[in-house]
Amino acid sequence: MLSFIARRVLSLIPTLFLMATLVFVMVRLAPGGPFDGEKQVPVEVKAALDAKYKLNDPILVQYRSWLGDVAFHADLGPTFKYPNRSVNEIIVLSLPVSMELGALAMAFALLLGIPLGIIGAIRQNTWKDSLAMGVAMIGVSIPRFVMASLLVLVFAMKLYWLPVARWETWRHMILPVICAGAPMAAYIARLTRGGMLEVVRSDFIRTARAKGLSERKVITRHALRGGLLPVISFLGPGFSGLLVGSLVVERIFNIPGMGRYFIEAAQNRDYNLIVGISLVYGVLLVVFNAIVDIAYAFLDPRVELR
Amino acid sequence: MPVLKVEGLKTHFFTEEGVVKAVDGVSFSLDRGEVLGVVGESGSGKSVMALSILRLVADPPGRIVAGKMVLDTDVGRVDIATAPESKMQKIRGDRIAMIFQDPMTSLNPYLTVGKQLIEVLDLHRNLKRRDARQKVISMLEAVGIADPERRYSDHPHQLSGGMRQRVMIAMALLCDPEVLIADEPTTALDVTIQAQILELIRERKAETGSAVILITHDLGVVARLADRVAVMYGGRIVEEGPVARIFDDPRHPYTVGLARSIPRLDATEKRLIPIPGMPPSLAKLPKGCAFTARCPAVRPECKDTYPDIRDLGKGHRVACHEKDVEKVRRTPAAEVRT
Amino acid sequence: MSASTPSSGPISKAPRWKEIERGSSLWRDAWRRLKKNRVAVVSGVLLILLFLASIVLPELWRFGDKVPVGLSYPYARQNLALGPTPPSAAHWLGTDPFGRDLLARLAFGGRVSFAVGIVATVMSFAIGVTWGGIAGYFGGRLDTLAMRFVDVLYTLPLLIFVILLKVFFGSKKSALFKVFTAGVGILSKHPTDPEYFPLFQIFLVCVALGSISWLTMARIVRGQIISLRAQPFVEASHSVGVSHMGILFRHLLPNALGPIIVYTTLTIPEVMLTEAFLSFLGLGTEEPLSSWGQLAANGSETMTLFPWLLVAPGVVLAVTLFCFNFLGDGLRDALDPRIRKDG
Repeated sequence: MLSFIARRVLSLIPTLFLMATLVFVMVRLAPGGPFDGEKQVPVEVKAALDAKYKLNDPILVQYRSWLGDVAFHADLGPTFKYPNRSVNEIIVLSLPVSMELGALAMAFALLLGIPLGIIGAIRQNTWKDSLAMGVAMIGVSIPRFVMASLLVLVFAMKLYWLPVARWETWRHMILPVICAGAPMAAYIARLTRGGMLEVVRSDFIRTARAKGLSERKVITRHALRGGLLPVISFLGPGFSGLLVGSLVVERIFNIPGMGRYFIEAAQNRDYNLIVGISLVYGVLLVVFNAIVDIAYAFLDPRVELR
Repeated sequence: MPVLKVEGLKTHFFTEEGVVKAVDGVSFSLDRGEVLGVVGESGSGKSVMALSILRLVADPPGRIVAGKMVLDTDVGRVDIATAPESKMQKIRGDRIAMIFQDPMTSLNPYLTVGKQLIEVLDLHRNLKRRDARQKVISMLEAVGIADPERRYSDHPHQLSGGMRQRVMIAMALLCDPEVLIADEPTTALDVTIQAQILELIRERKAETGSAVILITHDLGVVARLADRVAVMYGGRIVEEGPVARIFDDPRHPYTVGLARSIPRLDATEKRLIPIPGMPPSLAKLPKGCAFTARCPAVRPECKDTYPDIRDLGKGHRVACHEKDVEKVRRTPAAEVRT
Repeated sequence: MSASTPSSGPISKAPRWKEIERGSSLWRDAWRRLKKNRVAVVSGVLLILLFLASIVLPELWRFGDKVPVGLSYPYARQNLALGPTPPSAAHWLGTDPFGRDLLARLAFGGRVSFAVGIVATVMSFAIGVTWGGIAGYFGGRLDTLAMRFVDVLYTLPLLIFVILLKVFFGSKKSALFKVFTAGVGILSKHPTDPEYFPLFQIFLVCVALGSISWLTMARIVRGQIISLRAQPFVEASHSVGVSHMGILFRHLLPNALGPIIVYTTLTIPEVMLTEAFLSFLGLGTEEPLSSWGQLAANGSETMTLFPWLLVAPGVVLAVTLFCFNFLGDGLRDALDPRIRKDG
């Protein structure tokens, strides 16, 4: 098991490398540099800036020096638009916020989605099933920003129950977490229901009943393990979707997380920041996926630890 | 008193395509310690009958619509056709246990063998953890699993098909059930293993004194193990009796046909004589005898009235209009009458 | 007929003669099942209606007086004097800050949304089916490499790349745009028409979305092909001289069509949702060729002042996605013979 984990972790590195390189290349290929904005920058000033940030060096040179900085110093460089702050600083500030949002959203998704899915499965084709799946369907069919806007409109502006934006008290967290987690909750509900239905049909469930187990114990002790496996494998790409969705949520609710900075950076062509944040996203994702893989191997004894 | 007496059991399935009468009036009794072989083709309703005894038929769409099933054990008598679910849960695994057909899929792949076995004891007995574990291990040994201590912590996929079936048998016998239902226990196994498993069942049954309902489509299995045989067709028992009489003196055309369609080493006939036609759909059973379309001894009344059960003495019963033994054993024509 | 019995069902394995005579195929059975699923049928009908509406309604203004007032506005006509107004008798869904009739914009937006949804899905279908089909069919190292590639891509936040793609290559100055206009210029008479930029944006969105949604399709197709490939008829076809490509495209893929159709139906709403998301970030379609997502995004910016601008496109978008999802689910249930309603 340990060697499986070690090997899994090691395989992360090429993936990360690939991602970083891709982002770097894409960013550099684009027309327009960070200082080619609408504001008319005098030519000499621009030249000086370019030189300072080494933007005129051949790409390979830039790449090598950037790579060196990242790999050996964990230094993602200075940002171009906030001259007094480095990328590292911004990330250190905004990452915890995004992580908090992400973690809460995922917890919400699991806590809502799994029970909904189980209800749908054990009460298949009854009104409870239709209701549960209907709710799940809504979560998947409404764009996040529409949902966010509507929720804000109703709960914050008309009813004054919850604050509109920012991220200070727990009250602030309710709406953003719901918006960020709802689509994932919906997916999880559907997956759980499907997985449970599949498992409940298995022969070994019949064996469990034949032993005299109550229906409840049959579900919790025997069916759940197998039924939840599709949910576990979904968590990897689901997390990916969560990260991306957080871009919208952070923007609407004005939450100072990485997503908001990312969008600004993209629009400002702030190379280092873009690359830096992308890299962090990549790392998060890749690590999370590895964890999920390992968890899956734990849960399903039939998985060969190759 | 027989340990299990089934009277007029009817289990129907209410589906979109109509009512499937899987079990349509089955009666038999099972004495203590005896092996009753239930023989029939796929679609004869035998598995559903087994599941009905344990009330494991999925509702919806299936339901026991009629009948009594009286279980008589030292703790009392109860009609398991109508007993409340809580009572059934106490009976399942404890007084009546079942072994299923496909050992590859009948065990939970995510739990260890030991955990699944000990669960039965946890449910029905009050044993200390250590004693329960010990009992499981000795049972594993008794069913012929080598190195039972190690196998206890193995997962099912680490065991072969034959071993898994032994585990299933162990699971069924842990609480010394009065009735053991074995639903095609060897069909999914290699021929060599089949013999071993059957022998195992015979051994354990002798040890514990359980009665066994052995369901199979294989007459050879029945010949080996059964004391009595019930032949099922179209959801009903068409002939029933001691094993020797069924084989030597079959009185129902279907039984005759079954016996004839098995290849035998000592046969003089060069051709196998199959039963022409196909078994009926349990959703569209005819009003009279279900075997009418394929029967070489058919009479005018067969289509409309189901034959009464005739007692032939010595525990041999048959449900057939044709009393003439010669006609019953007539070789069927090659084509089917529809 | 096997002697196996499933968990606890009645199995009448005897063939039903009448149906065999009628020739009940997988498709006919599936169609029958689908028709019984009322929600799926309603969804399908609704989608067809929406689709037709988006084609027909934006043309109605040409009929002048013969059409009720509410339907008589061309989608792009502005009325700055009027400005934003809530729904009224004259403008059934209200107007936006430029005085444009919302209903007209919504109807036209349907064209854009459906176009993006369909084109991107077709792209993803094409890539996914080819990739998965070839990987599954040839197996071996090719398969491992191909699927490893898919696995890696699957775990990356591809949308980040899409965003970057749109930001960097979506401007008027980008080389890609120049190539696009050159291409269009060959086909049309007005190569410098400013209309092409919005078209370019749509094109870019389609391409971007198509290139990230093919992954799951590839996986599904590969799985199907692998299980079909083991069938004896493949070897038989080989021995008769059918080429690999022939077998793949003429025999295997048509048999794998079931799950492919289901997944395609489910990809369309995903694409539409992603496009709405991009529009919200300002990276989607461009005025005046606005999609529903774009309209909703615009609406959300002014939602406190003009809520109708958000509600109408939001509802239409949600209903459309809802219907696609239900239809897809219905198709999946209809095509999968194992999933019976009796648990």
